[in-house]
Amino acid sequence: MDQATRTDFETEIQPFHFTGTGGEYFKIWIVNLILSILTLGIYSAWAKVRTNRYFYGNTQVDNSGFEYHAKPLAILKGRLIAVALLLIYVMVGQMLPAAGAAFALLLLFATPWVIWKSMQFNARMASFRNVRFGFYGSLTDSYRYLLAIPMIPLLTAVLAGIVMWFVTGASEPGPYVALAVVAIITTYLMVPFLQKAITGYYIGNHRYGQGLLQADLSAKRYYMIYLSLLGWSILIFAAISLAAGVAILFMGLNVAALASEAGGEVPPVAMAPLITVTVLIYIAVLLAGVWIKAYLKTKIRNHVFNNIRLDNVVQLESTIATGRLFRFYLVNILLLICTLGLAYPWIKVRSARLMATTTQAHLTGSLEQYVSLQQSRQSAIGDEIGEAFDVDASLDLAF
Amino acid sequence: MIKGWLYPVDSSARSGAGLSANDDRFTLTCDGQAPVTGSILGLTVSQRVGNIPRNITLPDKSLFETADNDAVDAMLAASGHLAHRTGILHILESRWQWIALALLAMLLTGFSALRWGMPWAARELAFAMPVRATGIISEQTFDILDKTILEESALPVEEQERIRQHFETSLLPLQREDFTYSLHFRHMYGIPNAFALPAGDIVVTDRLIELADSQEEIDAVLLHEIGHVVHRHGLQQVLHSSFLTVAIILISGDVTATGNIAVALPVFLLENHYSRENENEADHYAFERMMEAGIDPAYFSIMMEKISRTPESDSKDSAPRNEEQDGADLRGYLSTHPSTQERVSQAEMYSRKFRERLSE
Repeated sequence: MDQATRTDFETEIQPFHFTGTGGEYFKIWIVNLILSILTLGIYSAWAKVRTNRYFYGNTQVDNSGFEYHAKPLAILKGRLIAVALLLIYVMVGQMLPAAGAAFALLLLFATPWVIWKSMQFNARMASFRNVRFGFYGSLTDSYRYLLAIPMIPLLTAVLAGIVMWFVTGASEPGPYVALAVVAIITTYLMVPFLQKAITGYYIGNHRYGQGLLQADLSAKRYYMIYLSLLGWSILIFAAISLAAGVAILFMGLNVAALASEAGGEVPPVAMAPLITVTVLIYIAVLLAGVWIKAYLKTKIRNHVFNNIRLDNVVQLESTIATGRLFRFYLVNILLLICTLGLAYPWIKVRSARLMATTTQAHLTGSLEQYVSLQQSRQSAIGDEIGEAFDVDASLDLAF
Repeated sequence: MIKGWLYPVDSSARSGAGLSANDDRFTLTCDGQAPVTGSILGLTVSQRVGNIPRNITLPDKSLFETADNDAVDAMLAASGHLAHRTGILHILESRWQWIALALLAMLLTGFSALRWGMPWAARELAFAMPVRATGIISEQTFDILDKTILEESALPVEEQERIRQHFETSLLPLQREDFTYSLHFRHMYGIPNAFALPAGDIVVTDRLIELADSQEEIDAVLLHEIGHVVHRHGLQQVLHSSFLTVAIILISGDVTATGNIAVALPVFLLENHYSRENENEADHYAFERMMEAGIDPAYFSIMMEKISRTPESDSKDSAPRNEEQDGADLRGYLSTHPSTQERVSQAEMYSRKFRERLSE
């Protein structure tokens, strides 16, 4: 027994590793793709399991990997239901637009339930050192954070609009537009809070065996991150605009001078620098966009991971830096463009490796005492549908 | 000996352990515990994926975890364990030559499915659908069109009645399917146009009637539209674009992908391609019925040229002849209809046949 024998436990830092390679995963990925197409999508369930097992299994800490246990047949069942729903939705939408809209609304109201089910499924299917994870969040909270609170501004505005219409009978659009604008701005202002609440709900309700995971996130920190992001964005775009303005002004004068020399006609060569500048501005804006994405992800991931604890045994630490993630994104974009998308498996592996190497676990107790809990399995169908819609990706919890 | 970790049932407490195999028997040794032996066939072994740790579950549900995949594979092969056979996926996933072959197979299948599979399925399904089911789709579409781009016809009621009378007594007997056809007149921004809805509603715009100098010219257009109905083109198009949408979502795994220009453009081009094939099919239907009814197919080309010469119709069709020829290649991909010239020359070919038959 490697740890249980130690009585006085000193903090031990265990880095995460990712042991997969791009070449190895490329072959798995391409076989998955081919078999999925040849079997008209049926194999995609097996592909999903193999892919997840590859990434879970290669993510290792303290000499053990994670494991993914879902059965392909269960996933296939969920996917068939999801595809049937999708087909109905698309066909109904084309033939009877009104019924299609009603169906979409129904789907919207089912989303928190589907996400909740999917969180349970994904947690239960993961294990580390022979012990399963679990998700015990309530359905009420799922509806609260994913549907009810985000809709408050919109619903308030609609109600206020109706009241206004009855009281004042105002028919000009002005006041209603103002209401809508206020609702939209309020919704945006709520984004950091919601992101914090959803992430906290997601992590804080996870269990490792009987152990409790905790995420002490701070809404203030989220707002500070977004505020500083706003500041940086304004600075960057002001700088780009200024540089572009000066360049275009200079160029314009130059073109005018050339045109007067040529007797009023603009020679085609005079336009070349103008095009170069336009392309440069475009690239600068693109780079700025990528940097903003890297900044946000870095800051939020570090804040979240640095506040994840498992009982008094594990404290996570994330040390990713914006510059590193920015360069990582740039290389990814170049790789994808140069290989027409074939580099996708390498990018996935690179990403897993970057995320693993910037994460450490501080062990302050023994990991030996955990035991898988017997988890109830009432409604399997819901789980599988949840899996089919791949909520982890759509929620984008910034990990 | 295969080295790894041993975990008791459902527990995270691990101890270093070693697994050794002898024919179909295994022996598991672990510090401070009595060795366990048993039949290898009684072990549950997880499938190999790349080089992730292998999970071997013992009959008592305790778990042996090892990174030594090759040794595990050798043990499975030597003992004839079932899990050895499912290792075929790993073999596929680790040989480049299989992957190259499979890649080729995938491209061929993907292309065939798009080019032939989907249109075939849409066609079969469209013809398998009961005629009555098309009624709902038509009603909805017609309603929307009436509310948006169509206005009431300004044609004199007597003229409408006369054309409708002719449509029902002379044209409808030419087809033998049980659609309930009805002819509608509408005004549409002064554009000459005609279209058919799946259930058999045919809409003709005022401008088109005004352009026609003879009943035969109107007949040519109406027969073309009946061709669309008989071949169930509207239904096929709805089904086909539904299939495409679902296929894109399935392949990309993203519902929002359909709005992406990189995806939308190929879809647009593909759909136009089938739309042009449908126009050709409807043209041929019209030509054959015209010959049957004793109407010279040349009237079709007369009507086509008139439509293409009206300034209100698409600007590309109203361009002077010589320019039109230059742009024909590119436009082939972009237009929903075959070029006017192509259709006119088809009509003239039929017209020659028609006159030959008359002179016989």
